[in-house]
Amino acid sequence: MSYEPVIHVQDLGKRYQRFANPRERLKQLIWKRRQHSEKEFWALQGATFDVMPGEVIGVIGRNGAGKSTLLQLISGTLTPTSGQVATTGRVAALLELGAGFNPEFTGRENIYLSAAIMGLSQVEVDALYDEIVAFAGIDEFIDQPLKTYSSGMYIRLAFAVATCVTPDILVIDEALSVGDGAFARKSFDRIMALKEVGKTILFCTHSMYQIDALCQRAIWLENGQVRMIGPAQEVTSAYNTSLATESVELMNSTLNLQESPGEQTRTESTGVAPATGRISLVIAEAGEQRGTKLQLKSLESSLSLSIEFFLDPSLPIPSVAFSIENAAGIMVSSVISNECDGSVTMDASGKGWAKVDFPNIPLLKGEYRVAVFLACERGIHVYDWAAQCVSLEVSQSGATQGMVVLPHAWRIND
Amino acid sequence: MKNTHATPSISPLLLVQGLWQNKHLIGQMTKRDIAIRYRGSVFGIAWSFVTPILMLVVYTFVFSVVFGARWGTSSSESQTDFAIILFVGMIVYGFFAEVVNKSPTLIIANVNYVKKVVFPLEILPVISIGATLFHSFISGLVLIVALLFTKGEVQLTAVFFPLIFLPLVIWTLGVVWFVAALGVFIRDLGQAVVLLTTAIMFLSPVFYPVSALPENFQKLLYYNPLTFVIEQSRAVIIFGQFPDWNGLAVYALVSLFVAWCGFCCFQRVRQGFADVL
Repeated sequence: MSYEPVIHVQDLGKRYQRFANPRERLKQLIWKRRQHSEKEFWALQGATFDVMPGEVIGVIGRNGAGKSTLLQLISGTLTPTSGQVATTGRVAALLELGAGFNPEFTGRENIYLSAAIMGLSQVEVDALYDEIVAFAGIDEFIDQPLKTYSSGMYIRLAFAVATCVTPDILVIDEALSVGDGAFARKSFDRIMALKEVGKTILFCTHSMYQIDALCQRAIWLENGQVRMIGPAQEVTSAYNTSLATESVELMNSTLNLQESPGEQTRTESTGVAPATGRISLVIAEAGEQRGTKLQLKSLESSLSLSIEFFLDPSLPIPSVAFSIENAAGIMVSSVISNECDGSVTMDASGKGWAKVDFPNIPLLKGEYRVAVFLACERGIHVYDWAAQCVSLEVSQSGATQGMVVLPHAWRIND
Repeated sequence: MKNTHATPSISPLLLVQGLWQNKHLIGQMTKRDIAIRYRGSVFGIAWSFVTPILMLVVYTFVFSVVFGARWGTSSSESQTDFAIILFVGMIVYGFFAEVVNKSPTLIIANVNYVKKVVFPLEILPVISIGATLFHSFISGLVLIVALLFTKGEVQLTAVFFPLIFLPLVIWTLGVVWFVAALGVFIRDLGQAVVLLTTAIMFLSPVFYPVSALPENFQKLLYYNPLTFVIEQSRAVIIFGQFPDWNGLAVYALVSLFVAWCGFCCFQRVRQGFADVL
């Protein structure tokens, strides 16, 4: 593997101007004259970085921070106002799936057409054709016009075509896995496979967890500027801190717990669609209490959380995660089972359960909510989740401030 | 490494190279462009034949039977001769008008190719021309059958027709690059172009021979770039004459230049497409 960067971004910027009409833009192009206008803003400015082969880079930032603009500039669909982008190898962009499709034509024709747009010859597509159709799982509809497809079929076909070319650089906007159920898992696996063979992947997401789990490095954009770039964990933690600081400011005005959900209902039906899973029951217990709303005593009550789920039995044993967040939505802590082998049990029919205990719960006074996640063995692709499924009301004796009590010991001066 | 956003090149060599590299895509999309017109219709591709045949019948009836028009080639001119001579002109003009009329919306109608995927936009005009050429080709077949039917023979010199037609295709491509690029920014262009092509129909020797005009107007008519092609086409197809080689050579050179100029305009403004669509 070479140590030359595969993506070189130099002082990249994109300025949008509001033109009175399109003719203004034409004039500007012809005379190459920069007109200063009040109505302009930089969607991205001064971005400079290199991406090495095989790196997986996550782009994070709030809505409107310039994430999509950056990805579009790198994939070449937008023209930068300043700076430059250079890439090596075949770039595939999953910016908008199915953008090159024509609804009047059949699935087969669209496969050939969009593969041709990506630069594949007829012969190359012939070789890949069966794989694409099999992956999309639309065998019987392949000779029907695309306009008769359901949106799920459409997206599946689009994804299958877009990723069949085994690009050197894959640029993904927002969705790491598309579609639902079985296809979500399949599409996710395909992207993972690209990562494993050392392809370069650049994607943006709002899930810090995906960034931590997948990326070596992350780029944090804010208001069109690169706020931070570096090792994934460092960037996400800095980003989280910045988000948290803001939400605490917000908290004073909007502190108001939602009505807690009623008794957890049990879904009895077994069996799930292929490659999917479903959380069927979540139970929270603390001493005598059992339900979805518990009263706990800080450092005294022991909380235990358990989950029952159904998963396609052909899948590997999944991981289960519980997270506890405070009333402002800031995650206080979380536990995930894949860091501890054998914590999740699953029988041959796909029925499974897991239980986790928090002895002498170290939460301090306040209201907290528990969310539960059922995810793939790597803990990245989420099959099912239940947000705010349990609410905890913690009381304490004493006036210790904060959210949690850390293990500590006072030294007695002897 | 290749620079993703290098200033679009205007080198004619790179242009030809690029078109060659994209030949599969051009082929695929041209096929689709032809197919989509008849998609879902009962007679399908048969419509490509029906249209020119019907036109030829209508011309014959209106001009030869109703108006009793004569081209004035010889005294032995039959009733169908006028229609066939007219038809040659219509094939040439029809190609030009169809392609140019489509051009202002060529880019606008394919916003996805501009904004959502990385696509060699400069081939859109080539595809549009390819699809129209297919229809001209069908019309050509109808013409040959009509000639065989009415005269029992086709002039051997008709083999030169593609040679005369080619320069027309080349400079029309230049016009389409120009109009398609401008059409993105100036939306009125669609209206203006239709008016212009309609005017050109009557200002070209489609319905009349150049010789029917007073001498000083004849010279003027040759400023219309279609005139040369129409007249030459008739010469080789109907009258069994050889092409005007010198004229053709000059014409071909100029058409290459026009095509390149159109391409330059396209390349110059293409970076702004995504900003206004």
